[in-house]
Amino acid sequence: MNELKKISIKISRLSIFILLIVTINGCSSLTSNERLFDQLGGQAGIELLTDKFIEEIQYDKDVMPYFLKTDVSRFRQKFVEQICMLSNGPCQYTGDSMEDVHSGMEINQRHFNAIVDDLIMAMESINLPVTTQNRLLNLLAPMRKQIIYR
Amino acid sequence: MTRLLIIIILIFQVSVNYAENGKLLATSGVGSIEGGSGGGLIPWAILGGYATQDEVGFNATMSEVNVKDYSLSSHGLSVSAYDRIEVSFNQIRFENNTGEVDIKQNISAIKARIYGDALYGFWPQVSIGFQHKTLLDKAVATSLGAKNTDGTDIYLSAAKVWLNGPFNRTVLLNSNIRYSKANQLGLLGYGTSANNNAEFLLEVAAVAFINRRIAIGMEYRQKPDNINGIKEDDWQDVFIAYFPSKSLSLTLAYLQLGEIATKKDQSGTYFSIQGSF
Repeated sequence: MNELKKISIKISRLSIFILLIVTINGCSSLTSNERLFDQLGGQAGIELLTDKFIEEIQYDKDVMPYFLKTDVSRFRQKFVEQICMLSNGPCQYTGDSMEDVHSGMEINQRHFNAIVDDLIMAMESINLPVTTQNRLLNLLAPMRKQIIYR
Repeated sequence: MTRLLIIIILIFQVSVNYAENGKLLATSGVGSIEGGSGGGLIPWAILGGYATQDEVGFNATMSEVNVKDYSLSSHGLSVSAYDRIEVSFNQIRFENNTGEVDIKQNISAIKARIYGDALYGFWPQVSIGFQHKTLLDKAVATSLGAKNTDGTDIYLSAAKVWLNGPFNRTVLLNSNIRYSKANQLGLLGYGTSANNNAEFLLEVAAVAFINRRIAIGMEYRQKPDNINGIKEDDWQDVFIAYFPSKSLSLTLAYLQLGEIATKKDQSGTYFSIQGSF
């Protein structure tokens, strides 16, 4: 009987934990409703972020070699467009697909994470709140599989 | 304290040249008392250090527990390779404040990632772990009626990170199912002659990142209660972890360990420092 009680306590604790996971997965109500585009500072804010991001990449010896053949002004334009569109701004991304852009580059996990670090440092340098940073990172994270090991 | 300083200096010197830090800051977890990456009282499915699938990383951890009647220290080293496997060696020293109890235990542990990526995957990252523990001082365990002085725990662990969790904070949840018959981590041996069956035990951790460098969290660890007349309680803690860089993490926790070897209400502090290089 005692054993049975113990098992039922265990199961109830586990179900609370599972409930917590399900809640977090569906808890859009607990996150900000404000348009991310506005939180990023609109078009001007996104352009500033992109400039800082490019600056960080230039100092990053891990990933800089990948950008040597990149047309920086095109990269800037397409990156701004993409962030603007992802954040529900009034833009349309007109660049190539993430798969096409990165094919043949053989970007590994280390390089991908280095780029994410560069973006985080760019966001920190313009004092974007960590909550806004998380919203943007969360929109970009699913692209990882379209970028690495191509 | 001097030893602590030497290790800190060593970590910084080594990390300058050899840092394999492909992963994102704080995605390594911190050290756990039984070795390997975790949150303090329990291991997590995440592998220690920042090595990605093309890299190898090393971690050194020192943890100090001080509760009402006991103190415990854990020193260990771990290696994580190719984002697949983590091997760790720790020595635990468990003492009571009156000096009658002084028990050392060696722990060799291995953790392998079976599936997934806690940060980028849709499903949780799942790992399996084995912890083999051997008592160097066996008298206390034997006198309390423990069946064995060494044993192996097996656990299945799942962890998931939400980059944009509740209130737009990054959140990590980890859950383990452990199969064990250890009495107080095995410090009081394994099982008894009357009760020598291993059981399934639940362990959970929940963590929220305040910013990129500071995380707060809590852990819960269910424990067996094998020895007749010597009650063993479940463990809980709340912690704050600070990641000044990818080579260093500091963790401070408040522990509630319940009754340990007839001494009730063992609450107190936990401090841990981990270097990754």
